[in-house]
Parts: sequence; structure tokens; C-alpha cells
Amino acid sequence: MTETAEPAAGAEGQVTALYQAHATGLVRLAMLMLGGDQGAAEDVVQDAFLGLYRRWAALRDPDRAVAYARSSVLNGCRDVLRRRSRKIPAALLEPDAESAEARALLGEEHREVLAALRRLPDRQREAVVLRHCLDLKEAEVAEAMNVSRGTVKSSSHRGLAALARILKEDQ
Amino acid sequence: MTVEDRLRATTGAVTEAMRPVRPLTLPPGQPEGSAPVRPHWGRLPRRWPGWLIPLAAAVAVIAVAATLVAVRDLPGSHLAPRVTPAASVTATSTAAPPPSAGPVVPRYYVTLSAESRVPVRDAIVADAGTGKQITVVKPPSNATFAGMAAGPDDRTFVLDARTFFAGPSWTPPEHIWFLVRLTPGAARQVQVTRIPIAASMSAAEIVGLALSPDDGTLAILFQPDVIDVSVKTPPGPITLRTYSLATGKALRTWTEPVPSSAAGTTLDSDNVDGLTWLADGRTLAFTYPSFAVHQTVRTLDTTSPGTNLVADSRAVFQVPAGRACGSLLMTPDGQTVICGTSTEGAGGCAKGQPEFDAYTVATGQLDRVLYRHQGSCAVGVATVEWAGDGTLAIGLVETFKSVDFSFPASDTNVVGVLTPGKLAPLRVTLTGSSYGPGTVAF
Repeated sequence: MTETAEPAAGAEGQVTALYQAHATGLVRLAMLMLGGDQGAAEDVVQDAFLGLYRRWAALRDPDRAVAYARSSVLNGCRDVLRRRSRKIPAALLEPDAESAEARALLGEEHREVLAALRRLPDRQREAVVLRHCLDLKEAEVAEAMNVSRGTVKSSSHRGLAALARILKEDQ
Repeated sequence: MTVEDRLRATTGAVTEAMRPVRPLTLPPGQPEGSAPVRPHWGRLPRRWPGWLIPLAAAVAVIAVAATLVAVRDLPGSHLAPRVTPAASVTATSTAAPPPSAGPVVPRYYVTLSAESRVPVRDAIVADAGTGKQITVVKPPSNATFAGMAAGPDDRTFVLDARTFFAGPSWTPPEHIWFLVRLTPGAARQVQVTRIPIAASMSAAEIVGLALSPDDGTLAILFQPDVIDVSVKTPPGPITLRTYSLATGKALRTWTEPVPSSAAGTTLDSDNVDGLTWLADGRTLAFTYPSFAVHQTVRTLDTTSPGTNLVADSRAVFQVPAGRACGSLLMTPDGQTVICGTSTEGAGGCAKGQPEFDAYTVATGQLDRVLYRHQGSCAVGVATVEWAGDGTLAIGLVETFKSVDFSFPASDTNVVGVLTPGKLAPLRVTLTGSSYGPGTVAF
């Protein structure tokens, strides 16, 4: 492709191409955040790319598009969890609030991990998932979470420690 | 199987269980406000024409100069209400009396405003004796205050302002430093001036910040090139540098031989490494490596030769196995390390309260539990904010009702003077959460 080559279909084509390349990874991220619920995860990712599409003209650095989408997915997951926590008493959210999908498809040991993740504070959960489940670099995690890299490190550390305790105590 | 192993296994299982992701559905037509779409794919990042670079640099210098002039005379300083505390009143008027021969509990403090999605945090100067806010210091434009350190008295503070990305293309953040001097009762109680430290910490994470006992030297522990979203530059080595507060000139520099990032070291900002000047005015104490399995406190004699942060410093204390300090500070006499612990996980406070522990450096053993929180919580965090000696400190206890909370502010927080068995609350107002030693300074 030469420097002057136009993409196939402008913003729509570019956003769609980006979606095709990254949707699976982002849905996986959202599933980990939302306790394995793929339907809700796909909704969050669709919304994120819709937002990206609407703001495409203002996005001058395409290298940042994936980071922007990832950050939007995290925001979307937070909103979903917030809505759920308002509707459902907190006690009912753990750990039985896992999705029926996760219950059907995942082994008990993995459902325990997802349930434990859901019991972490938002920031710790995000740092742990991005850093240790998806193996993102700290700088990428920091940008996705809109926090400093130091916060990523401390949140990740605290999250892992909390997870260890939760999983140990649940055994 | 470690927690990390379990996370990886679960991630793999989730991936295997995923159905094919449904296609993207976009609304018909061009997105709102879209300009003709520029070609992106397969292109190198657009670069500026060569002739434009010096012009842009000149504009940037003028803009920075204008900003600094503006900040030098911050409006918040003029707006400070005339709080005129009596000179003889100390924080002890509202807290437990300190030992007569021991350190005096500081009264004035600076903290950051609550964190939000908007990446701008102000610095709030307040009086823990009256509980009143003295002034709010606004950061320069396109910057946020990220941390602070206090001087030996309770009226001198250093603020770290970090610039942030606000333009169409990524620019690495820099740090701008300010000195805050508080003169209670004066016509102008708060003076804010820029410390003339040259920009030299591009994309750096500040992990330690300490002002020397004579107010003359600022020590900064940092790791360069970590906040780089392009991830084109590997993180640099953790670096400890001292600066003259008067001239901003770099005095001494020590670096670690191998960048900690390669070893997976965990850091935090702005003073999670508990960088502290000891009372002798020449020794610095700090945690290195941060959040390792066994956290280690090292001391470094800043008057001795050498530039190696590890070889030229000495490990003097290690947190015992099985214990973890969310924050820790060495006392100025170098005899004690005060540690704040967190309690998380199922059961919360019922299965172990957050507490403040004092360890004796000479033996490495727990000397006493200064204070153990009593109450119910799902998550509890104890953070040591200031260390006087082995029996006196200022600590913060934050608790959360639920581990599934969605909002950043803690449900309760108490900042108080710690003496054995007691937390005497100070009138400190914190509106967010996770206030570490670098986000509240006494």
C-alpha cells in the first residue's frame, strides 16, 4: 500500500477493519471483567467501536485507536457493573452472580477465578486483567485505565494479593 | 499453581469457550463531523516539516514561559481565607500529646483533590488543627499535581506537577516542581514558586520524593521513560537524584545497574517507595525493589562516593516473610520502620484488621502494633503518612463496605496521630481514596 492509498471505505472501512482485528481480544477482556458473560461483553465492545466511529475524524493518530477502544471497553464494563450493583444487592453479586454462560461452559476452577476477580475493586480488577490475563505492557494498561503506570503497578500488586487471599479462603 | 498461573488458565478457558464474535454494526452514513478521511493504513506516523520544528519549539518555549509566569502568582494564593492560627497552637491541640522530647506532630498538610476521570488534581493546603482549608493551588494548564513532600517543619512543601497529553499527538509528560511556603497569620499565607529544576525526567514515574531536614535539598527517586504510550522506548533504570532547592541544579545521581522493569518490580507514585531523609541530613532511606516478595529498605549515604543505587546503598531492613506493607516509612532516627497493612479478600476486617506496625531495624522484628483498626469492612487499608519515631506517626485508615464497589471514594477514612494503641483523629478531609505517602504530606 502506498502512502496515498485510500482505505476501502473511509471511516467505516477503517473502524470495521480495526474491529475485525481486535474484537475478539476486547470481547475476551470484557468477559473477564463481567464474569464470563459474552453477550454483555459483545454489547460493550460494539458500543466502544460505535464511539470510535463517531469520533474517528478527531482521532489523528491511528496508533491510538486500539488504546482508545480498550479504554472505552473498560468504561463500558464499569457502567455495566455499576448498573448491576444498583439493581442487585451486593451480597447477591458474589459469587453466584456469574453468568449462566460461564456456569455452563467453564470449569469450576475457572469460575472461581472469575468470581474472585469480580470481588476486587474496579481498579485492581482492571489492572490484573489487563496486565496478567491479557499480558499488556504497563504503559498500555496505564493508558487504557487513564492512570499512571505506578498506579497500574500498585493496583496490580494489590489485586493479585487480594485474589490470592480470596481464592485461598474459598477453597 | 500461582495466582498468575490460574489467571492465565482461566483466560485460556474463556478464550476457548467464546463463540465467534458477531460482526460490527455501524449506523449508515459518515460519522458526525467527519472530515474527509485521511489515509492511515500502512503509513508511517506523519512527521512535521523540518522547518516547522524550530518554530514550534520557540512557540512551546514561549508558552511554557507564560505558564510559569502565571503559576508563579497563583490566584488561589490570593483567595486564601485569613485563617490565623495562634503560633503556639500545634496539632496536638486536637490530637494525642506527643512525647515531650520526641518529634512534634505537624499541623499543616497538603493533599491532592479527589481523583476523577478528569486528569487534573489540585493541591489543597489545609490546617489539621482547625479542620479548615487554607487554599487550593491549581496546577499549570495541561498539568496535574501528582504528588508532594513535606519539609521538616509543617510549613514547607514541594509539589510535583506532571504535564499530560492534551493534543492531537502523543507528547511524553514532564514534571514541573513547585515550592509551597506557608506563613500562618501573614497577609499572604501561602507562597507558591517554581523550583528551577530543568525538565529532565521525560515520561518519568516519580516513586520517591523527600525534602531534606535543612530544606535545602530535594531528593527524587524516579524511573524515566515509563509513561510512554508508544512503548517505543524501554523503561530506564530507577534513578535517585538530589537537587538544590535554591538553584534547581542536580547535585548527585545514582542509578540501578539493571532496570527494574526487567525484573518485574512493582512501583507506585508518588512516594510509595517511602523515600525519607534521616535526621542526619545526609542519609536517604527508601524501599528497593518496591513490592518485591520481601520488601527491603535500603539506606544511602549521599556524601559517600559512587553512582550505583544498589552497590552504594545498604539493605538495612526486610519486611518479614508473610507480611506485606502497603506503605512503609523509616523514622528519621533510622531505628524503626513503620508499616501500614491492608486487609482484603473474603471476610474483610472480620478476618484481619488493617494495622500499623513498628519494626525495629536492628533486629528486623516486629516491635509493636501501633494501632489495629476495629470495625467492619470488606476492604481496609492502613497507610502510614508521616513517621515521627517508633512510637509516633500519622496514619490513614480507609475502609470500604463492599469489595464490589464502583465508586472511587472510600466509605470511611480517618487520618490520625498514632501512638501505641491509639489513633487520635486529626481534622483532615479526604474526598477520594488510596492516599499514599506521596498524596498527603505533613
